[in-house]
Amino acid sequence: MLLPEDLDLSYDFDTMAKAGSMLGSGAIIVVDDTNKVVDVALKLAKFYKHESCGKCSPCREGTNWTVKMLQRIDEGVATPMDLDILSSVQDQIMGNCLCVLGDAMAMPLSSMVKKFRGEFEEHIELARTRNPYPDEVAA
Amino acid sequence: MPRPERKTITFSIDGREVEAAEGTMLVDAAKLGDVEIPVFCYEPKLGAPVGACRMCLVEIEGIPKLQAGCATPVKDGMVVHTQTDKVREAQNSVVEFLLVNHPLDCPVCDKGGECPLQDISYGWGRGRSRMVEPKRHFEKPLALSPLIAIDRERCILCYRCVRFSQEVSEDYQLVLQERGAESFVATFDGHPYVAPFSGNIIELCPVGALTSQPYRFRARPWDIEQSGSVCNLCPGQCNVSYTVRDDRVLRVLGRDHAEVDDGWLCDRGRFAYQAMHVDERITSPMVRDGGVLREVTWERALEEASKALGRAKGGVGAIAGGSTTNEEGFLLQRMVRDALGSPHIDSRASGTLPVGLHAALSAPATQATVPDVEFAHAVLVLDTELVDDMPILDLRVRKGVRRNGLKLAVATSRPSSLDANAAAVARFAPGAGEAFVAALDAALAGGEVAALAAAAGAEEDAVRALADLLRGAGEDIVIVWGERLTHGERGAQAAQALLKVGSRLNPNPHPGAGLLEVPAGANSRGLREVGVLPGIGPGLTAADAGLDTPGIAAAAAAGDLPALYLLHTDPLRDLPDRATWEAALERASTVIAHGAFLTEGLRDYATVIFPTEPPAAKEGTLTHTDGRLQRMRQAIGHPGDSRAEWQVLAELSRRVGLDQQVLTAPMVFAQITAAVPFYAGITLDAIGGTGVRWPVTDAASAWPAGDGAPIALDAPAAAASPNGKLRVGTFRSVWAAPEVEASPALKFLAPKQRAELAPADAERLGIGHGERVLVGGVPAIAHLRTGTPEGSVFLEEGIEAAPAAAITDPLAEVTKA
Repeated sequence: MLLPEDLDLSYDFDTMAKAGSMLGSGAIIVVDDTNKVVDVALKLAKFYKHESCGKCSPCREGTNWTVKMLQRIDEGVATPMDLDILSSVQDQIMGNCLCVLGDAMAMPLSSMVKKFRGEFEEHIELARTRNPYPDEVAA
Repeated sequence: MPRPERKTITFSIDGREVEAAEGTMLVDAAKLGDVEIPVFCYEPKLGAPVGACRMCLVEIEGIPKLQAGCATPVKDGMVVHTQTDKVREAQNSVVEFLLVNHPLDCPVCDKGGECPLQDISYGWGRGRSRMVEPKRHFEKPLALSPLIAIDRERCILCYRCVRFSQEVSEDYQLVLQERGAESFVATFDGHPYVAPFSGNIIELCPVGALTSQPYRFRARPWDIEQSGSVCNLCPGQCNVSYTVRDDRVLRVLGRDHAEVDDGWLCDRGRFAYQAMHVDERITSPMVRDGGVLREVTWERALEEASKALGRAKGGVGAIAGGSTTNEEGFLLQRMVRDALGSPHIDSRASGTLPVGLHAALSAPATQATVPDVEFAHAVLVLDTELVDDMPILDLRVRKGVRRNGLKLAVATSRPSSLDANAAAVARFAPGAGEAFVAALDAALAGGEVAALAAAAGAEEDAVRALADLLRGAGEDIVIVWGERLTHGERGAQAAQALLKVGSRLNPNPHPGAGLLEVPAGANSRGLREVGVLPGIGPGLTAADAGLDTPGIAAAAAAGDLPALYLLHTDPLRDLPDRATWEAALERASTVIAHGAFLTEGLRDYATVIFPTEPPAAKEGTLTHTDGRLQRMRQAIGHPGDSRAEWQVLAELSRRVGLDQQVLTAPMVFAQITAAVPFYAGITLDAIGGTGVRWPVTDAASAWPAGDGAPIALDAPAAAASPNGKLRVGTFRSVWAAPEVEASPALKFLAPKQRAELAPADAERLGIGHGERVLVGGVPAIAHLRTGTPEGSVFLEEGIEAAPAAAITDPLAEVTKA
């Protein structure tokens, strides 16, 4: 994930990788500031969970677990500590899969948590206040 | 394709220099340096690795990302690390991911205590769970089949069971349905997973997702002991390990032997153990008293038997069934020959072969081994249905075709389950094996094929195609032939034709090629070699000429043999020509039988019955069809009043006047190695847990010279011309066995008589699939099977309610019942 200040980077594999992004197939998704970063993260994670073939465990279980954690954040059943687990899970996926589908989720998600941690924490706090039972994970 | 030659390379793992064969996968090569790399999905028996679980990630210098050790072949100079922080982090991660959806129900899980997931979590996991979200849920446990329970919540999606079904047993039933985290294992059509080798997936499963229905909740790993032995239910002689709790066998596991069973078991071998502990089993001696069989003391039974044998003397006919051990066969033939003076002893169903032909068919120089089947250039499967006759070899052939480019030729009367894997298939009329082999010989020699093919009821083009395939395949050709080819009156001629074809395909005998027999019984080869044949004594020496099995039946029916000794066989179930046998059993004044179950012949005719000890209680040796001597070892005590049968035979022999000087089973084996020159020097210690192939010992030079194949074959018997009737062929299903009927878990597989018909014949006769029919008077259910050659009908042997052996005519009318 790149921020407005990264707009001057040159569009090649090495530079993108250095900036913590990935050129991949070359597509760019532009997200404006009216979107909540948690929504973007959840949408992205759901997409990769759905696309995961399920053959290798880091991708299959990693995408699945990531979606569950983001949903928890969105529903107000999370604490800021969960963000550490969320980004640690992304690290656990990265580089350990059979193909790069898992990496393609882990890389942007981990940079989202890093670069928008404040917004994530705010979202967690707000969602918790809306949830009457913020410490109970639905079974 | 011959075995690949691999050079030795050196690589470094965790600072140790280790030598390994080039191309070995890293996880296997690591073991040579005492380094363990944890795995879940990797199982070399399943073929090429998939690298799916990612448990085996290791660091290799020069490669930035971690690599899957199970899918990375070692190269010279490779430097591998398995103990770095990066690797440990990855291993911790994978364990955590696998536990995301795995329930922590170990205390109530059958696998608990012998579970790779437990062990690896303990050894390579963090030991703490960060997962608080709900796990996925399924209805559980479900019956994947009557034999296997599936718990999908426990499944870690390693693909092992699916790969087994798709790539080893090739029944193509198991698949992964859905995708990603929604994946689950199921049969493709939702029907139960019923297949001859299905039980192997229980042993393959690295978690408790697939459990054995009969074993579920019967024991925990700390309640049980494992005891190695050899399965004696079929000639495959797979190496097994009995799970014993409180002197009862509760489970059978494979004891991997790459040169015998390749680590697999069939479901009969895996589940028929239940028949060892059922109430129907005979566990004390019985004597017919006033027309009724009664349980009696050993003293009474032995006395009755010895008196009757003493009266009959030379009028005793003895037949040993295929599950008889070498020791039992040896003691029996000495008692019958030396104590009673009767030469009438046999272990074959029908057809006497001269000693020279026995010698030629199993000669060490032209003998192929089981692994040769996998690495040959081409294999001819001749007159045998492997999945029924020697199931484990069926998997070996499939493996050769799938992984080693083996060219397969199948020549049988009945459509074979291997047809789909074969490069050439030929059909011949039931019972026309001799003519077919003669036709094949002519085709290989470039001679006149048409007349011989017609005599065999085969298509000339198919015979030629088969010959072309075998001739052009390469120098390593293995012929896997069924013993039934050499049964019947013209068995010797068929054997000669077979030898001739064998020598044409392998003009220069060499290891890796030759003949491999699929015997009719589990230990048929051993029984022949210890002298349980008419006119042939231990070590294929000459003995007084006697009657063979059909001869014994005829003589007994005519009143010339007053006593019959049936060791592990019920002629009404196991042997052809039922009418003669019924007459023989009726007429004989004494019928002494060793049996496990009161099957028809024993129930109605036996005068003295000695209980057959369960296989797990047996001690003795068996000789595998490729010459490997293997040991059955006692795992449990003798149930009820039963005794070791070698002891019973020795005691009986003493009572009829010959003390064979045996106090233990190993003493019998010592006598065998003294009497059989080509077993000389082999000890039970040497046989140990993996066996000794005598054809590669020094003693093999004592094998008698075989009769060379004759230059010209005489005209073979032609298959009967149908004339409006159908030719009757029979086959014995792997499930047609008393131990299947007696095992609660397997009972559902016990076959009912069915008549396999070609759809065209059925249409002509106005018979539909599933209708009741009579085949020569035998009731059956019509089973239309594509591929069945027109003009033939096939019935199952060994079915008590509708015995195929009642039909003696080669032709029969099929009518609606």
